[in-house]
Amino acid sequence: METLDKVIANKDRERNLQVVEDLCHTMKLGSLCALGGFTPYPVLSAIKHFPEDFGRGHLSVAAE
Amino acid sequence: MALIQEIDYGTPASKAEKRVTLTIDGQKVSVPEGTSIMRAAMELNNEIPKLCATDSVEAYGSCRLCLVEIEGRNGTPASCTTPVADGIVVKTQTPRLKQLRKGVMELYISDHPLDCLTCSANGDCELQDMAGVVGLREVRYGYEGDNHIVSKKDESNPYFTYDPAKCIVCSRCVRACEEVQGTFG
Repeated sequence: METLDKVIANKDRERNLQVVEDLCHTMKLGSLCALGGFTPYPVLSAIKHFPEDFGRGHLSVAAE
Repeated sequence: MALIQEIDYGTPASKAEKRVTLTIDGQKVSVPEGTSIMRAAMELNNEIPKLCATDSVEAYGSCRLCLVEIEGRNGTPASCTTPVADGIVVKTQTPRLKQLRKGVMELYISDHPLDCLTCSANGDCELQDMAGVVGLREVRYGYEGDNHIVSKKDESNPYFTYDPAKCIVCSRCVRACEEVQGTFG
């Protein structure tokens, strides 16, 4: 959350977004419980399908 | 520093008579049924990174540092809580595991004081050792977020001090009290 807040506040945006993505990958495979393993999915989906909301420019094609 | 350096197999020995054979990083090893993958690897002198496991208490699986890959199985199970099975092929070092361990360690250190040089555990600290083993060099989360650095130490017990700033919530102390000392609660 704190790192996403930095992304939203445009503080070192691309670098912090990478940190969030890395955290998601760590959580996906590293979690002890299924909640931790699944939580990253909506976050990664949001970054993937709505990159403009995270300052990564528009997708060239519409999301499926 | 501890005076006697003993090998820590990570999990207690299994007393089963039946033996199973598995492959760890290309090496075959035969161990009693019920042995953890971590212990089987240690029999081969292959030390899987760990924090919450130690062979005097039962495996718990909270630290997420001993993750391994097993051919044909999904995900990355913890090697301390996963028992051996006949014929499985285990990998303890892959780029994916390296990345995972580093990611987990980065989270631990993001809520840990950076006073190693003046810390009483300096040089005899498993957290410090593992940070080196997984190759952690920077903590990208920063240290300004919510943390336990200023939390008060609990020194009410004459035998140990609980310092929330240095605790990684592995439950090892609780398990030792219950399983070894037998004085929990």
